[in-house]
Amino acid sequence: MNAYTIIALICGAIGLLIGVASFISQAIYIAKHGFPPGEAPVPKAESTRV
Amino acid sequence: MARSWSRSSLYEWVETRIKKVLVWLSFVVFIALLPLTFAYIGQRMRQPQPFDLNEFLKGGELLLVTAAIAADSMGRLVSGFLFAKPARNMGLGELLFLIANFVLVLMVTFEYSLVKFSGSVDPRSLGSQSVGFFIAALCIGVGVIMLCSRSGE
Repeated sequence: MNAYTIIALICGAIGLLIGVASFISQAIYIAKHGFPPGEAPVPKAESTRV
Repeated sequence: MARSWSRSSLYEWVETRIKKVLVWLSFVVFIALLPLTFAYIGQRMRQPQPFDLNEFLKGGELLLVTAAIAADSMGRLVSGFLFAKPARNMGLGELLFLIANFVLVLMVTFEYSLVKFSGSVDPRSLGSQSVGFFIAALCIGVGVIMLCSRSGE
């Protein structure tokens, strides 16, 4: 494994770490304070087909 | 004080993020790898010899796939904050992502040009190097989907 591969893997690790940390912090925020305006899951609409 | 959310809606939110990652992996990544997979199967059917990763990837094909996946992540990232509602500025996490992704794309580009034009890359290590770049692009891609989930992307 050469220096290029190590730098690339470090970039990947940083990316994955930030993404997962952001995801977990958002989930904790939602659990504590609820969904921010406009981000709550929209319930599926009832079918209006006859 | 009444909560403005239910536990099931949080589960639904988490489930949606995980589904987005799975959809990305199964469509973008799997389909991007399809030509290489078919080439590999065809090669094995014609010459059933021991598999040599470096020999198979000596043309730098996986580097191109890596660049395509990194480009997809970059597009998702930029559109995530560009079209976010309500509008917001780029956060530190997104900036770091953009830099990491850009460094990866630059290295892939440099490596591919070395393979094609100067031939100064050691063919014995190109396969494992390509796989390393590919794993890095996958990690960044998964991270971008997790990060951009708040923008409704």
